[in-house]
Amino acid sequence: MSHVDVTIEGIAVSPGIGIGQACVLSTPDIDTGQGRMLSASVPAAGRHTARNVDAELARIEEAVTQAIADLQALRAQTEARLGANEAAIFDAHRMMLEDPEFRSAIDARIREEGAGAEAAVQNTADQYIALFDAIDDEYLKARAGDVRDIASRLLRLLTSGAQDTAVLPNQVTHPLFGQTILIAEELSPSDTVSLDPVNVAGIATVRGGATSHAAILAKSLGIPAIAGAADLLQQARFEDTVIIDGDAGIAILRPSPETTALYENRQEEQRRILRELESQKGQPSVTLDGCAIELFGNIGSPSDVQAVLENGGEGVGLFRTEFLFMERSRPPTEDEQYDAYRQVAEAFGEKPVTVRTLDAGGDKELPYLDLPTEDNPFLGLRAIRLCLAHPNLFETQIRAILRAGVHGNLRMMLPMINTVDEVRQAKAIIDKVKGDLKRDGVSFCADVPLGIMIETPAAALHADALAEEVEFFSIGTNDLIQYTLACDRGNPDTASLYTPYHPAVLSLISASIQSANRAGIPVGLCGEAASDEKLIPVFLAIGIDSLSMAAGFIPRTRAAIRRSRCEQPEGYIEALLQLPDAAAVEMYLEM
Amino acid sequence: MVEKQVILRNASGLHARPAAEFVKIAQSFESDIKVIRGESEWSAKSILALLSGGISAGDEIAIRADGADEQQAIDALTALLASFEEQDGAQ
Repeated sequence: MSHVDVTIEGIAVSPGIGIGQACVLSTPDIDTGQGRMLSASVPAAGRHTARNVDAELARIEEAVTQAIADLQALRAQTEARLGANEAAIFDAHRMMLEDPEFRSAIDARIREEGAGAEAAVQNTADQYIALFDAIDDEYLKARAGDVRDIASRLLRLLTSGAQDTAVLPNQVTHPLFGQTILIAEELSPSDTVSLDPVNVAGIATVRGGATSHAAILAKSLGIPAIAGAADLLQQARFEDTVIIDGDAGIAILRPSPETTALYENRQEEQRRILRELESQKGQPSVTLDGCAIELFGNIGSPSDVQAVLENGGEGVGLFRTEFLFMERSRPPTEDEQYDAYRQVAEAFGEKPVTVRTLDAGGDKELPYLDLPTEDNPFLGLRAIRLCLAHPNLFETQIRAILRAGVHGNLRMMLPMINTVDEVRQAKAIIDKVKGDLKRDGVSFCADVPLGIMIETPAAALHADALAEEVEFFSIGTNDLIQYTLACDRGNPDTASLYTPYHPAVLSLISASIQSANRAGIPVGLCGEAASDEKLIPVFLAIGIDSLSMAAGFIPRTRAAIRRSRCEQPEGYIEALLQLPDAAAVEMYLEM
Repeated sequence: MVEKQVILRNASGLHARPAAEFVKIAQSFESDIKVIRGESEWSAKSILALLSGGISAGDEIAIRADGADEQQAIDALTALLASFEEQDGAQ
C-alpha cells in the first residue's frame, strides 16, 4: 500500500491508544445547494417539491414526536451510564426540538415553499446554525453543534423510518466489523454517547476540542479521541488501518507493520499496567528504596470524588473550584459552595482535600462578572488577581471553605501567586472572613492550612520568600510550562514548543521543590507532568512529597513509583539541568 | 396589548440558563409574547430565537405581550429578570 505511516497532527481530546479500521463518515453536499450535510450519518436529503403538503407535515410531526421520545430514552441511558451532568446535555436538545419557532419555520417551508420534510428541516437548521456561527461568543457558537445534532436526529428519522433509533451506520457498531476508528467532520453528543467502546477503538474529528460535549462523553466512555484531523478525513479511505494516539493528539494513517507493532506494544503496555494496577490497589506508593509519596486526585466537582476513591487516591491535590462558577448566569451562593466543599471533605474524611480558590479569567470566562475583553487574557486579570479585584466574590468562597473545613481535612490554595504581597492581601481577607464568621457565631475551621500554586517563573525563582508566608506549595506544571516557554499549547503553531522536558522548566521545578524542602513545608506537583513516568524519578530525586493527577492516571503512576528509586547517583539531576534542550533531556531520561 | 421596557442588568444577559428559565415561564402563558431590541424582535417562547438574538447585559429591551393573560405574563417575566439581577447583586 502506498503512503505508509502518514502522521496527522491534531489535538488530544481523550487519552489512550486506539488501533482499527477507518470508518469515514463523509459529509457530502446536499442537492438543495444549501451547503454541507448536517451529519455524516444522514443519507442525502433532496427537495421534494411534488410532495403532498399534509403528508409532509404529518411526517414532521411523527419525526419530532419520535425524536423527543428517543431523547428521553437517551437521557435516561446517559444518566445511568455516565451521570447527571452528561445527561443534562440532552435536556437542552429537547428544549430546542420543542421550540415552537423552529417548528413553525419548518412547517412554513413545507406549506409556502413546497419543500419536502427533509429539506425543510435542513434549511431551517442551517439558518439557525448560521446565526449562531456569526455570534462573537464561544458559548453561543457552540450551540450550533447542538442544532446540528437535533436536525440530524430528525433527518435520520425522516429518511429511515420512524422506528429507527440507530445513530450511526450499522457497520460501525456491528461486532463483526471489528475495531473501528470513526473519522468525521464532527461527532454530535448523541452520536458519541451511543458508541460502544468494545467496537469503537478511536475517534478523529475535524471540529471539536477537549471541552466540547462530545469530548467529555468520549473521555467518560474511555474511547481515545483527537480533533483537528481535517487531513485524516480527506485522506483516509474506508477500512484503511488507522492508529489514534489520544495521548499525543496524533493519528497515523496506513501505519507500517513496524509502527503498528510499536503502538500495539504501547497499547499492550497500557493494558498490562491496568491489570497490574488492579492487583496493587490499596498498596502504598513507595519506591524500591522506601520513599513514600502521596498520590492525590484532581477533581472539578463532588461528582468526581468517586473516581478518585476507586483509583486509590489518598486525597485531593487539586479541587478546581472554577467549574462550580462556570456555565451559570450568576456565581454560586455561599451555601451552594459550602455544600460542594463539605461533600468532598466528608467523602475523604481524614485524607487531605486541597481546595484551590477561584482560578477564572484566562480561557475561563465568567459571563456574569462582565469583565472587559483583554488583549492578553493569560497575562491579565485572572486567578488570584481576579479574586483580589472582586473581594466580595473571594470572601464568599473563603467563608464557604472555612465553614466546610469542620467536616474534614480541607486545605486552601491560592492560584497564580507571583508576589509576597498577593499572599499577604489574601491572608488579610481570610482573617477578615474569620472575624466575620466568629462575630456571626457560625461554626468554621480556624486552622485550614494555606498554600499557593507555583505556576509562574517569578514564583519559582522567588520561592524562598513565598515559602515563609504559607504552609505548602503545589507546582502547577501546565501554566508553569506555558509561562516559562511563552507558548500557547492550544495554538497549533506553537503547541510543539510546549514541553515539560525543557531544561528551563525542570530548573524552575527543581528550585521550587528545594525552596519548600529548605523551609520544611510540603510540596506537591499537579498538572499533566505529575503522571509522566519519565519525569517521576526526577521529581522524586529532587524531593517532591506528593503528586496530583486525573483519577484515571493514579493507578499507573502508583505502579511507576513502585518501580522507581528516589535516590539517584550523585550529580544526576545537576547534569540533567545542564542539558542543551528538551530532546536531550528525553534521551537522558530514557537511558 | 401590554409592553414594558427593561434594561437587562444581570451580567450574562439572556444566555444559557437565564434564557431557558425565561422561555419556560413565557411558554406557560397563552399570550403571544415578544422580546424586542431596536428593530429586531424574537418570540419569547423560542429558546433558539432568544439565544440567536445574543441579548447581552446592558441591552435595553421591551417585552410585549398580547392575549388573555398579557398583564400576568409581563409581571412574571419582569419579576424573573429582576430576580436574576438580585441574585447577581446578592453575591
